Amino acid sequence: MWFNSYSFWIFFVVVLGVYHLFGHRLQNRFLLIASYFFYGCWDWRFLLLILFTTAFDFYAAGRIAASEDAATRKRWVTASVVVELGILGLFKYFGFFLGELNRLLFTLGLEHWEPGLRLILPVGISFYTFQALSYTIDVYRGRTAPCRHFLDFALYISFFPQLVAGPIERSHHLLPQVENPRPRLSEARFREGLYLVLTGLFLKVVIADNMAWLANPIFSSATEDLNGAEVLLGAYAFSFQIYGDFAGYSAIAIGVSKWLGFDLMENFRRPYFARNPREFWQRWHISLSSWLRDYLYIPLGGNRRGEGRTRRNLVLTMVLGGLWHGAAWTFVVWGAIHGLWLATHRAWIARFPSSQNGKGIWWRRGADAFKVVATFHLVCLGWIFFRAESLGQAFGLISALGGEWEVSDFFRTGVSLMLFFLVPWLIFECWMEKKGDSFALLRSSWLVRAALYLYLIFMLLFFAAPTPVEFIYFQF
Amino acid sequence: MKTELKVILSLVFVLLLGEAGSRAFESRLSADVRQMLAFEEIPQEIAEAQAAGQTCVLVLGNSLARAAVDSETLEIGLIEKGWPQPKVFYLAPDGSGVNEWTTAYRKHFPSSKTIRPDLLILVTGPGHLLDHSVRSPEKLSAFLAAPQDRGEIFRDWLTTDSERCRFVLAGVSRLFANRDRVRPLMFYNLVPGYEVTAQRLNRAGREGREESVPAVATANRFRTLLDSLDLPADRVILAGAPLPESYRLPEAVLKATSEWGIAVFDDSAAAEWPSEAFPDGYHMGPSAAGVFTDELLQATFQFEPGVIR
Repeated sequence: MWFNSYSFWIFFVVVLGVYHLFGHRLQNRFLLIASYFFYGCWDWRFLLLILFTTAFDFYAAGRIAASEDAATRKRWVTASVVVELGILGLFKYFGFFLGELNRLLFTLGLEHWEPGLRLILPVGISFYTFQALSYTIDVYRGRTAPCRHFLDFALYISFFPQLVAGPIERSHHLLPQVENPRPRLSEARFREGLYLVLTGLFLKVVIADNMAWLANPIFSSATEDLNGAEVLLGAYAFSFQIYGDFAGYSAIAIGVSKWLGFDLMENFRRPYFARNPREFWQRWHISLSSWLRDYLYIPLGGNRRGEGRTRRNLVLTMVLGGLWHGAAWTFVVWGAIHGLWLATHRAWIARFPSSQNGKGIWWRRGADAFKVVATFHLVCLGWIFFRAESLGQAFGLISALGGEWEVSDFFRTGVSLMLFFLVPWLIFECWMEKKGDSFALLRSSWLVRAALYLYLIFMLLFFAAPTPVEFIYFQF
Repeated sequence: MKTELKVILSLVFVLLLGEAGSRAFESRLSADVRQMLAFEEIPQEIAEAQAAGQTCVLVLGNSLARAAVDSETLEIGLIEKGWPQPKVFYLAPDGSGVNEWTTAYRKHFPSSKTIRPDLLILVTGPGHLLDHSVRSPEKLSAFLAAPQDRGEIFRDWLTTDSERCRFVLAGVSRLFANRDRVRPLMFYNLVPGYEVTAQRLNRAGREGREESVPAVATANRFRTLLDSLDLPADRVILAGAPLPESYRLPEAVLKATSEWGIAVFDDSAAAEWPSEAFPDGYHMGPSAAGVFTDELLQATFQFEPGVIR
């Protein structure tokens, strides 16, 4: 039941209608049933896993909170981390590591082992596992009080709008909203929800799916059949595909949650307007990057133990962040590229502190524009590894970029289509960026809003991609 | 919700305007829409022609049928065989198969009425008569389905919630039903090189998608179509439309035709045709269509003058 499917909207209309008939406690029970139904639509067997995660972390957090003994508390939080990462490792990385082990054994001329067990990846496991971990760790750190009601905690883990692809919520942000009565559906909430749902659907159905339509033929071609211009087109198209796909999903998740009285955290803030890698990660998949910062980078030492250790921590965090996306070397390399880039940027800033004082406004604007364009292109370079089926393909594509360039008919048409789909949206994002406000549209005249919504609906109706594509982040 | 109500009402107002515009001007969207709207007139024209002593041939199929059966050659050939003033009609929507043919025939030639063509030539490609999912619930709902068939289509023919929603929405909104026609109309006319690029892009899209192919090919819907024709078996001919690659009609289809006693002509589909016969790489050109139609006439028309009616 994807957010861009008719089934989801029928489901949601029913849920919304019934939900507002109830008081707080019944709302929670009803949302929990709806969430399990939503999740069970993929495969009912996945429910057993989410139930186990819920029960184990509820119990572990209870034991942590009940104990005054530091060793006991540490034992239970360690157990929670080991169990959660163990589940994630088993379902997500077991096949990968086994494959790599077999390859190594084969290279060494040894007999390899083929297990009879084949594990399917439960939808959204990476998201809810991290959300569950944030709870036990926060209880351990004393940032969150343990949840008193199991069913409330179960809803915190399985809340359907953000269950399968985030945003990855924190217990101290979402849990109080579960435990306490929520605001009714006011005009302000309805307006914000409508804006987020419409823009989210547009980003997914129009931008992401049409960019996938352009990018897929490039990434499924043999690299020797492509010239530099076509690879560049593919990289641009994929960069907007993944942005539209994931930012669109997040916007819809936040929007429908608004209508249910929940406020989820912002997950994307116009990432392609970032001027450096640090800013990029403050704008891209914010819930994951801040999770990695709080639960991995800082515990590793963060920036507290000298520059060398800081850079090592950055690279390590980003490599593991890359691996979080999937069990493949392409993701590891993608993470490493970002880690090294962040570390290099940090070193650069330390050595050449930016000083634009005394420079004219046009100089500053020009410099910022250059930084935005440069950052975007380096991000695109990373996306080639992210999207490629193998490291060989990624290197092949990059070498094609440095090879022959020919402006073919395919390239020309592709660029025309990209401009058609992207320019109006980028102008709108430029306007939001200038205002520094993701909800600037809601503070403008209703006529402006109606005009934009009309454009979005027009595009959704007439310019959806010929082939709908499933959400990329569902597989992570 | 006063402010947002204004936003929503203005959206609804513009969408209603769009709906009215779509209903008024939908025939300008594509030749396919024009021909589907014109299907409404076929039964009346057949009734009038038959009343005037003419014989009527209905060609049922899709664009392959329109391209392969040359009406002029067919009419001349029938006159030579002694048929009085033959007239050819096409019930052949684009991109259609057995689902669309069944429902379109039932809509325009319902069992409650007696109007029937004198001869029906059903022209198919290799897989069009095998059971498959509905390709366009929108087209089926807005143009081809009879009101009495809608319940059965919704319940039994459509398999996913998405298909059912699209079927219902297209039944109430022409704006929704015709939405897929706007994109090609605009891009083919405004984006240089779009036609060639779109073929490459769509090919890649199809290759990446897993089609659910039944383990055993069945032709149950074809049997439903044969039942719905309400014509004697000797007034129905099944012809395989020639394609750039030769083929034979599927076994499941041939089994049904032998049970119903229908004449089948697929020698031409099994023959190797030169590539010049298919100017666009798929549909027959006019001169090849003349040859095919003539072969069809020689091979299958064993009727004596006057026997038909």
